[in-house]
Order: sequence, then structure tokens, then C-alpha cells
Amino acid sequence: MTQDKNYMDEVLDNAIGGDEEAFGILYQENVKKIYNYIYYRTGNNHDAEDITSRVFQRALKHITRYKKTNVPFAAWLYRIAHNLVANFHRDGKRKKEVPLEDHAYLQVKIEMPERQIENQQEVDKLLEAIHLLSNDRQMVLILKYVEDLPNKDIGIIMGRSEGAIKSLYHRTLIELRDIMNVSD
Amino acid sequence: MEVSEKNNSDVIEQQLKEFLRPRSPETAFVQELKSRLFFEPEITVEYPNYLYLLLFISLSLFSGALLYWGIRGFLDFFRKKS
Repeated sequence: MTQDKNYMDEVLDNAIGGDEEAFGILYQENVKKIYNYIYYRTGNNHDAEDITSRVFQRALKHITRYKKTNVPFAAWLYRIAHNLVANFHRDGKRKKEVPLEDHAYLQVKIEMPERQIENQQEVDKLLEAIHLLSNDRQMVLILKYVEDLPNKDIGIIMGRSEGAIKSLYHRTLIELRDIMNVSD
Repeated sequence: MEVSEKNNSDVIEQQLKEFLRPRSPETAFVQELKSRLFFEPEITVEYPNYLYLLLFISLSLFSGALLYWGIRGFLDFFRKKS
């Protein structure tokens, strides 16, 4: 574990020094996480791929200015992703054309057809409710359930204490429950 | 009332666990993005070749002038003869 940490530290140092191969390792290590986060924030594969590309292009452009702290490198990428997704939603009042098969809700159907028949409405309702939450609240849910991170790690990524995340999660659940009750 | 709210939250947590699952990006996308990041495509802008255009116009003007000079000479020759 420590060996891994030392190796990744060295990789990060090299990437900061402008080593493209080292950045390639960081890319492979983080691309799935960042894609997942963006996928659940945008709700479709097309926009998720587009924004994921922009996150890594931006990271590569600014990596030499990255200051190493105790915060993991992934947190920096999540922050870039978080800002780009926020911009996307702000600018995205425009109508977007999304291929039907790319839609997150339908993905569930493709992956588990039998269960989908029973739960389709619940899935739709839940994902729609999540998209009504604030950016931070959506982020907590995605990091907790999709990335399966403990509150402590979520706190590190979001720059908050473990207690603050626990409380944010609790409030998020209450809001989600209220949204879903109202829509019933 | 509180018990029912607690149950509701439990149901939502259960649904979150069930439906928010990690997805893998397409391998082709991951590979393509990696190559796009490190191997910027070489872009060359092609400008129109003005030399050919200039040569064409010069030749046209020269041929026109030559033709005009020829016809005029020809006509003068016949006029003088008559």
C-alpha cells in the first residue's frame, strides 16, 4: 500500500514536471471515476464523454501548476469535473439532443431487463429527483454510491470535514425523500 | 409518523444502492481520448496558390494582346492591298 502510494507520488511528481507518460498513468487511474461522476450528473453517455475529455485536456494543460497537498490528485480532477458540469448545466438551458440509447434511465433497462419492467418508474423517479438536488448534494450521492467512498474520503475530495459530509448526506436524503413524496 | 419517514429514507437508500452503480466508459473512448491528449493532430492550413492564378491571367492577357495584334495586322495588310 505504502509502496503504491510512493509510486503514485513519484508518478505525480513526474507529471507535474511535464512528463506525459506519467500523466498517462494518472489518466488511466482516474478516467473511469471521472466519467462515472459526469455520467450520473449529465444523464447520458454523449455529454459524459465530451466533458470527461475536457476535464483531462484542462488537467494536462494546468498540471505543471498543480500544487501537491495531502488532498489526492483525484480530488483536483473531481473539482475540474464539478465546475465543468456546473457550466454545462448553466449553459444547458438550451435544448440538447441526446440519442435515446444513451439515456441513463434506459441504460438500466438494457442492463437488467426483467427487473427494469418492475422498477422502471421508481428508477425514473429517483434519477429525476437526484437531478433536482444541488450540485454538492448530487456529488455526495454519486461519490457515496457510485464510487462507494466513505464519508472521510468524500470530505477530502469536497474539502469538508467528515462530520460535515455526514450532515450533508443526511440533509440530502431528507430532500430526496421530500421531492419523491411530492411527486407521488 | 417518524417511523414512516425513517422507513421512507431506508427505501430511498436501498434504491440508491441498487440503481447508482458504476459504469465503465467505452474502451474505444478511453483509448481515443488518451491518444488525442498526447498526439495532437498536425494541422496544416492550405492557402490557394496565387502563382498559378497569376500565370493564367498573364498568359490570357498575352494571348489576347497577341491575337488582337495579329488580327489588326491582318486587316491592315488587306486594307493597304485594296
